[in-house]
Amino acid sequence: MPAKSVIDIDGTEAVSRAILNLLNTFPGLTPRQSVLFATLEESTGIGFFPVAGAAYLRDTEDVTGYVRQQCLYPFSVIYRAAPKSEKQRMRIKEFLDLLGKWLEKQPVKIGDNTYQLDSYPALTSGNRVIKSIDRSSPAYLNAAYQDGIEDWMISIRLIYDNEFNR
Amino acid sequence: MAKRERKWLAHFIDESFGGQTPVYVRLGDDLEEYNIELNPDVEVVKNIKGEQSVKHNGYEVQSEVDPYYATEGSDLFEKLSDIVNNRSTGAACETTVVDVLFDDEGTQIWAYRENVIVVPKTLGGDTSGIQIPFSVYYSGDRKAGTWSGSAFTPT
Repeated sequence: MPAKSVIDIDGTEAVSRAILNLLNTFPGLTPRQSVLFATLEESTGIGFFPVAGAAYLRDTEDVTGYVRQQCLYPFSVIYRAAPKSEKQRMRIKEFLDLLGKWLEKQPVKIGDNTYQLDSYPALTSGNRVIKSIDRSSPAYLNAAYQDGIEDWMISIRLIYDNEFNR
Repeated sequence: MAKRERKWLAHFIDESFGGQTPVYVRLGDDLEEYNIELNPDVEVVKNIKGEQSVKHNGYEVQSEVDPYYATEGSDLFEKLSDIVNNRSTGAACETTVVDVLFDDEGTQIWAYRENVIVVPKTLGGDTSGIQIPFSVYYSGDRKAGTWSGSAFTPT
C-alpha cells in the first residue's frame, strides 16, 4: 500500500496563487512595488516564499463518510534592499510588520488612512477555505551581504480547511 | 473479504418529533464514532456444584450524539433547543429513529425503525460552535421495513 501523502498538493497550488494575489493588494505597497513569487531581484524586491507544501494538521472522517481536513501552509515574505541608515532599516521592518498585521485582519495605519482586510480570498480548488493567517515571527534581518544588501524576513502561517465526501 | 465501510450503516432521526409526516435527517455530521450501545442486562450465577446459569433480562439500548453542532436552518436543532428551553420531558422528547445498513452500491440490506426518547445533555460548548449533544434512548416498538431514501415503510 502506498504511504499516505502528508502534503495537500492541490491545496498548496491554490493557496500560493491566492496569497500572491492578496499580497499584491497590500495598501503599503507603492505603485512601483510588487510582490514576486519565490524570487527576488539581485539587489532589491519583495518576494513571497512558501516554506514547504501545505501539511495536514488534522484529517477526520465522520460516520457518514464526510472528510474534514485542516492544513498548515507556512510561508515567508522577504524584503531585499540596501539600506543606508538605521531609519531605512526601521522602515523596512515596519513595512513587513504592518504587512503581517494586515494579513491578521488587524487595522493598520498607512499614511493618513487606516486599512483593514475584511476577508481572505476564496480558493479555487475544491471546498478549501482560508481560516486564519498569523505571524509566526516579527520581521527580522535574515541575511546581510558584503555589498550592503540585506534580506529582511517575516514568517507567516496560514491555516485552511478542506471538506469533501469520501 | 473487504470490510464494510462505516458510512454504509446510516442512522436517521425524525426531526418532526411526532409530526404527521416524519422528516428523517441523517445523524453523523462531526461524529467520528457513533455506537448503538445495547447495554445487555445479563446475570451470571455459579452454584456450589460449579454449574453456571445465565439470566438474560434484555437490553437497555442507548446512543450518544456528541458532538452535535447547531447549524442554521436545522429543525432538529430547533426541537432540541425547545426541549432545553422548556425543560421538556415526556411526549415532547419522543420521536423515532431508523437504522439502515446498505451494501456498497447503496442497496438496502436491512432497515429498522424504533421509538426513541431524545434527551439533550448540555447547551453551549467551546469556540468551535454552539453544541447541543444529546442521548437517544431506544424505547421499543422496533419494526423492520424498507427505506426509500427519506421515508420508512414497515413490512
